[in-house]
Amino acid sequence: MPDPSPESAPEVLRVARRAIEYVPSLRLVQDLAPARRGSVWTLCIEVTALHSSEHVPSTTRWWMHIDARYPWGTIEVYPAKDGGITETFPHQDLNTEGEKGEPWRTGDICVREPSFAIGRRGFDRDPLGRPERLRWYFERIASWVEAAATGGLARTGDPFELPQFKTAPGIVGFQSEEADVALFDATPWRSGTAGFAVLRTEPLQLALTGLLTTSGAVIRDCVWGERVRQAKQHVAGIWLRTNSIPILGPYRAPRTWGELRRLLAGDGTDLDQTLKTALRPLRGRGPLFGLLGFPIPKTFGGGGTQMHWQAFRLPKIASGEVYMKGFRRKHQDSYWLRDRGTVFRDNDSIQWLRSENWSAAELGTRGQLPPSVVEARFVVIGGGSVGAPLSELLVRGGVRRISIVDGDKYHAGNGVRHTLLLDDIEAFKAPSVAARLNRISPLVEAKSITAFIPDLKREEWDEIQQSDIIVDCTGEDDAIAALGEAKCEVPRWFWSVSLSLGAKRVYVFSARGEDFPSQAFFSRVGPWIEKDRLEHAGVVMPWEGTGCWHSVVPGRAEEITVMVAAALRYLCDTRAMNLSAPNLAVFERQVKDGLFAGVARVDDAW
Amino acid sequence: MDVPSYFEDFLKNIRPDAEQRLAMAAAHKDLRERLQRDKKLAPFLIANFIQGSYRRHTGLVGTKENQCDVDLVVVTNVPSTSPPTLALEMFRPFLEENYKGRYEPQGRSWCIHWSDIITLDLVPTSAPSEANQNFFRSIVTGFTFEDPVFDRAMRKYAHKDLLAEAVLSERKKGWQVEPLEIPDREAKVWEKTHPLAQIAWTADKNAACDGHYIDVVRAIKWWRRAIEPEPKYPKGYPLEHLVGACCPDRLGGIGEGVALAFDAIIERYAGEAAAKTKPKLTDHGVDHDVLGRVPVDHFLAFYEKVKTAAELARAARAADTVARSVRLWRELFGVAFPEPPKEDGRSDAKTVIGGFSERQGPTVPSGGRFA
Repeated sequence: MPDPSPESAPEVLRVARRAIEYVPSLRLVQDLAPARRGSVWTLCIEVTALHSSEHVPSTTRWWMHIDARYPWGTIEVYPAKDGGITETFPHQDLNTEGEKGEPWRTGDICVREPSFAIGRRGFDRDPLGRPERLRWYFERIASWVEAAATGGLARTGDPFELPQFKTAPGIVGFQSEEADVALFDATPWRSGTAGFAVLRTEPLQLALTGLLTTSGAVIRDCVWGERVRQAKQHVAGIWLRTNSIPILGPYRAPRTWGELRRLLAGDGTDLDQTLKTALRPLRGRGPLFGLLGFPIPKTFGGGGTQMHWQAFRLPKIASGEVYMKGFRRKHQDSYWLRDRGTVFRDNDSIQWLRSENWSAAELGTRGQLPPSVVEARFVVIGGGSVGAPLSELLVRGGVRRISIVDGDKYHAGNGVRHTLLLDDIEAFKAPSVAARLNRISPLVEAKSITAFIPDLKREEWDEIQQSDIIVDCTGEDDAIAALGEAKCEVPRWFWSVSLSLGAKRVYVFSARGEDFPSQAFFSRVGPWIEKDRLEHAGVVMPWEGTGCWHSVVPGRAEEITVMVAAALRYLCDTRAMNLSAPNLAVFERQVKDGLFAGVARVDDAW
Repeated sequence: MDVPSYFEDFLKNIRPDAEQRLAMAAAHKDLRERLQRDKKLAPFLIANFIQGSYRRHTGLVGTKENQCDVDLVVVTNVPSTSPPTLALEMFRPFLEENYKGRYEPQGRSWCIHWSDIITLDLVPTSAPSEANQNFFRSIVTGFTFEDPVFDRAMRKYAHKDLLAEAVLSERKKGWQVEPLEIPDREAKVWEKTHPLAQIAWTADKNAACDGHYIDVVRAIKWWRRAIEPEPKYPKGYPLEHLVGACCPDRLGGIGEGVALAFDAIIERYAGEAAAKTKPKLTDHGVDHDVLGRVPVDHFLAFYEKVKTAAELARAARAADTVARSVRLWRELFGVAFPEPPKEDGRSDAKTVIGGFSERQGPTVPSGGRFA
């Protein structure tokens, strides 16, 4: 075995660890040594806190795992098995016993998370890459321990963090809004039956379709988009709720049925009675799942702002000929007693599953288009190199109701600037694009009409009437004319996005009215088309392919994406500002000295 | 301040480095294997073991001027009634055959020049008593006896020092392992020596000092070698023994040990210093004055140097900032002690790295690049 001495640790790390002398509450217990799992250096320190509590003794020991690439890479901090904390706290991974033969537990304390702020002062982020980074960790560890001892880790006003449930792979999506807390508070029902749509089996992906009473009355329905509605497989389960967040000790989620039993008893719920009743209608119905619901706040100390439904997989329960012998044959009691004695014992682990709130607000936290766009019903005419990426941007930006109109098929050569895939070759664009959009989010309802705008049937046109914003992405004058002739019953927004040759410019038009103002459009766009023609006089277009006699319009994905994104951005701004008069904006790709220099607006109105 | 992490890095600089340690291990392994293979010597050899500072983990890094010594004690069955030179000369043919041109006789041993910084000393002994012979045969399994490796991360021996344990356990049983006798070529007499007792005592003391004792010895030896080489004596084992006699148990760290050892030397030998004499220090297990060969004037000059060093060590421990403390330790130990940090370590409210900073506005993540 190599000499396990701190000698061979990298110089930068050895110098950095000397910073421990600056943190008087810390002491080096065991110097740098390589960990067995390689490319990690371990360091054992002892923290002496000013305060102590039931779960935090005045001195605690911690093992630091420092990536050998220090000052890059991760640094983890685990409680020592010998002399470390054994409970789980907020801002800490689940703190279990850990690997046999190693001196550390599993509860990494999340000192690098920005939500861990002390006393309203904002900590700067982990100084990754700087040699003195270890000192930052030493100071934070000291703060964390002090905060843990004084109950200051989850302070009133800090963003709320759920306790860590030990979950198996898989995800269950539910929907929950603020109104749910009051809804469930108002009902006397504390448990019942749940239905799930199976989106995927491996790894498991379920979407909650509804929460019902044991007799089948719907309490809470979840409205989903196409993908969930088209799910072929469904599974059943139970739900039960509690008034408080299920926490043991400082901040640990229950792991066994016994722990849950005790927690719920404290809440006034008899778990066994609840399970027995809830499972009754579900025996013999295949794999079952469960949800434990409780209100959660946005910040610690706040009131409940939504229900969180923590999912779990139910163990296989008794049914049919499998029941507790000695009791009445196939009676509910005999089934339940068997379950209680075999799979719901105190020491049996609960098989938790990851669950998430898939409401529009929760899914969209990373960014959403303005509400006036998100709430609109869209019809996108043309599912080609402009329409397809544009509709995808709309849907990812939060738009939920969208229809695609296109009579064309998708060809392999379109792949240069499209969102469709190999599987879609020779299929019709409209349904293919709609299907892809439906797979973006569980809330999307994307439909399609396989036809060209000028050839729409009466009923197809009526369908299009059910929209708030119609976007022309055809690049065809004929489509503009058709839109101009068809009178809509109510005024709506009309957008048009089309590209110049080679996607050098994008023509972005918007107006509000009962029909598309095609005259206004042609008169504004006309001069630009002319300009384009003059610029490209004599240029030969590429051919479709060897053996094909018609030419194609050039334009690559990154060129088109930039222009389409710019156009959409502009259109959303005009919508948010309610600019209803017909207006055309032209954006052009800028190149300076052979280098791409951005996109700029070039029309006179600017 | 005691700055333990700085001392760790200081020791890294003054201990024999990994390359030297490997070379020393290769050297004695080579010697022992050759001894085992030598058929002519086989009837006369009982056992062998490593002694000295290398064995006790109190040695310093080797240089051309201060070479690394590896002492191999070879227990023979030459009776102590025979002339001492016999025990030495019986190895000449072996050395001629195996280390031609690289060996030379010394007062009590043969010195083999392994490399320009490593020397091997072959120290033969006479036959011990029957009981002792049995002891050696029982615990030493031929030439595969392992020297203990000191695990620095754990601050203790990586596995048991069998020899030290054996000696200590025999002592508990009420039987003392007896001293050995080594030949003095010039004086033509057998001299009593007890390396096992020294090894056992050192292991014991180190355990009592929470693993810091051997480093205290090294640090003080280094101070003598690099900073205060005058007077010439005491050095080597006598210096180590002196530190051992004065270093208190239950040390929190090396800095503490160095300072307290210096203070104890001053206090304990104040009488002798005033009387312009030197103390008598009895070795472990034998009635032999460790300071016997140290001239009185050397001891007195050394005593004065210790007074200065003690003041420096005290000041370093009492310093109220890390930088100041480190600077003082560095004055005591020289450039082998790591440099103090550039600033005093107290970040003001404006600095961003390594400390709290008042929130000026919304928290802006550093780096500023997202994907």
